[in-house]
Amino acid sequence: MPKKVLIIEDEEILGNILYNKLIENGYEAKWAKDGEEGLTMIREMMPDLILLDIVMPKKSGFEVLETMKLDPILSKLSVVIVSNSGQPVEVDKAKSLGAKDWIAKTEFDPEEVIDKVIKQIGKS
Amino acid sequence: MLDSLKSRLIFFSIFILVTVLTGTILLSSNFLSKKIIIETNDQIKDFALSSGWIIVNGYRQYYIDDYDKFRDLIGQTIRLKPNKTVDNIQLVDVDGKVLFSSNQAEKVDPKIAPTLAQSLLPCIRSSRPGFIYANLKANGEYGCEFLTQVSNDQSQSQIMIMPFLESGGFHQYSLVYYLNYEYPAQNVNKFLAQASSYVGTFYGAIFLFFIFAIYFLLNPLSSAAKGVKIINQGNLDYRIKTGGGKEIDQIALAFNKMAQDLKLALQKVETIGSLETELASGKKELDAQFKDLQKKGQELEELRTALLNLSEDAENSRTQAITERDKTMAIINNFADGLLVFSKQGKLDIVNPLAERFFSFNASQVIGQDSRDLLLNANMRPLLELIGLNLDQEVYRKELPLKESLIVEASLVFVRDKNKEILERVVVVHDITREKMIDKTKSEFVSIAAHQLRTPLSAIKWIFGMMSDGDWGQVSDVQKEYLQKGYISSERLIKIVNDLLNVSRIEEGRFIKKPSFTDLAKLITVLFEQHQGLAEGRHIKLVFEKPITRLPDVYIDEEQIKLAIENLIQNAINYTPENGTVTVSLKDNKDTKEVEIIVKDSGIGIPVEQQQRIFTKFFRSTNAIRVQTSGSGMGLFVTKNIVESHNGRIWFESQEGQGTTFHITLPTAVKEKMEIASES
Repeated sequence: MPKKVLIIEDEEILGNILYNKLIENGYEAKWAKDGEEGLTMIREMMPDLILLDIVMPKKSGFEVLETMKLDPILSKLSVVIVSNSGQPVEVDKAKSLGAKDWIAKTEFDPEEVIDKVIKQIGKS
Repeated sequence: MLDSLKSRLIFFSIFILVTVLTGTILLSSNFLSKKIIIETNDQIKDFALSSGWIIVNGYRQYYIDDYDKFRDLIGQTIRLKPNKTVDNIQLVDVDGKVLFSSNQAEKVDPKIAPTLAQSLLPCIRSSRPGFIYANLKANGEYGCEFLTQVSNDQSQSQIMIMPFLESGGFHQYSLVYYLNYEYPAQNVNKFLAQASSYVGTFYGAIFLFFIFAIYFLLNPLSSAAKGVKIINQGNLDYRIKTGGGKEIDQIALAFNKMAQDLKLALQKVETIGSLETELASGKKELDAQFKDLQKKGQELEELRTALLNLSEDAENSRTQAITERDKTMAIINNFADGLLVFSKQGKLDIVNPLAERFFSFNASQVIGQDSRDLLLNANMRPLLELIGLNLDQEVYRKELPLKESLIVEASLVFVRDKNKEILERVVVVHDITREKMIDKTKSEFVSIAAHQLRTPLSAIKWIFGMMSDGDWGQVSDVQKEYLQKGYISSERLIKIVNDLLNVSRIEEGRFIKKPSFTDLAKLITVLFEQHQGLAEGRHIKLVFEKPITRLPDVYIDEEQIKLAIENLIQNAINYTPENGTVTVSLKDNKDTKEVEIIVKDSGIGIPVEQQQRIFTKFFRSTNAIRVQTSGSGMGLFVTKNIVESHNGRIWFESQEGQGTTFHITLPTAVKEKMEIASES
């Protein structure tokens, strides 16, 4: 049973690359393009890991985290933030809302993102 | 005895006679020499008033227009020679007819007026100006000698003639002055004969009285005479004995009374004399005092002038002070910041209108209150909590949200005198609401801009990376080379965007630290490893002289310090020519309790004239631009800000063409003392 990873990312190229990389690495990947869609898909999919962007249309990554935190089931899901922001306050905020890690997109290559995924949920 | 008395009486009667005679002569001579009194004479007055005389007097002419003036003129002329006695003045016409005489004995009846001595007629007819003097000659006549002045011989009798003309010059008149004048002998004889007949009668009576006295009043008179003699000798205390008959007693009593009166009179005279002396000395003293007073008065006057000047100066100073005060108050009242001035004693002295608005009070409600009174005012509470109730510590620009839409910066500044004593405490409240709004907008803009820039940049970077790695199919070597260059360029762009974001955060004061105890050797080892690739690519030897012993920890934001040191290492590599060396070392400065990071290169160096500007934002030295065109000029600015925000120091030595050595010091960790910034 492949491990399920949900990407919530509004940027077409980045989302696409990550999706392909995950599939390549044997994960069952799905891709939501805004926060609202992301929440719906979280509920449907109940992924092992969520790669969550912060700045997104409809609902931001923080709003998604806040909603999840209030839900006893969703709050147990693992989330790694993949964002272009990265100010310490933002990182702290995300962590306090339950995010496991923070990946700054500009500082990491796709391969390194996959390394982080493996670190969190292991290889698929 | 009686003979002796008789002879004495006779002698005395003769003495009396002689005395009376002498008295009579003295009396008459006194009468003769009596100074002239010019009486009002209607004739002269009329003369003077009607004719308007011109008196020819020396070289002057007088128009006589009133009698008083004429009389004064006569008075003036008779004062000419004080040692001469003017015995008579006559007014005569050209024929020598006396029209007026001051001598009582020569009352002139105009109808039968006497004439002047014939010998004087030539004198009065002379038309010479000024006085003409004529001397009385031995023959009793006058020689008209036209002397120029009065003889100094006091005894010599002279006549002084002053001719003058009637107005219009038709009739000539003369004033004739008789100086030390002796009347002709017959006149004196006539007068003496008259006088001696009175004296003779008087003498006879006296003689008869003494004959009677010889026989009837001898004894008492003798005693009385003795008494009189004694009294006469000056013994005014002596009293003649009475008892020689009623009349003798009366005489004796009269003498006694006379002696007594005389004594009293003498005493009075003495008293007056001494009073006069006293008065004289008193006057002298008064004069001296008066002079003294005058001097003092003068001094007082000078003092008054000086005081007036002083008071004028004071007034000017006061006016100036008022003007200055008004000016100062105008500045305070129109100041763009709220001002609260506390006195030395800590009482609120001045509040300007803006401060009233900020804290929603009226000056009248709060003036005179101290900080503790003011604490009761809810609007003032946040300010007082910020600056402290004791107002004993200066505060510089501390942010204070007063209301929802009002953010201020409050400062507490001391006004000190030259001895550094605090005179006043001034609270300056600067409205920064607008700046805050702009900052917020700017910050949001920068964040969004940075995000918007970084998202496509990371996409580009990922694409270049994956393509060159052959993720999407095999690429040729040339393709791979260009894809890698694209990848490096996108990284450089990301670095610039990150620098910009950091600068923006530093300027906003939002470059937040998350400090932790850090081993710098470990941190630099990571950096050293990360930059080996870059150094090798540029054929530069990167060395890290790792300390043998463990250095004390520093309490820092690891990410920020990493960025600061990374900037130095990258610069060193970028601006050192091939085959150069970059050395990173660490030092424990125990004496200053600092750890020192040294980054030394053998690079292009910094031109001396540009060394001062090296930490300025966006500044790049001219030789640096030549070597590498793409630097942002923000690295050293960011590094310096990071180091200083950690209470560290940064400096460098550099020689163009030789290389540069940068030093950073950071205080060794004492957790309590670290100031940790926190986002507001």
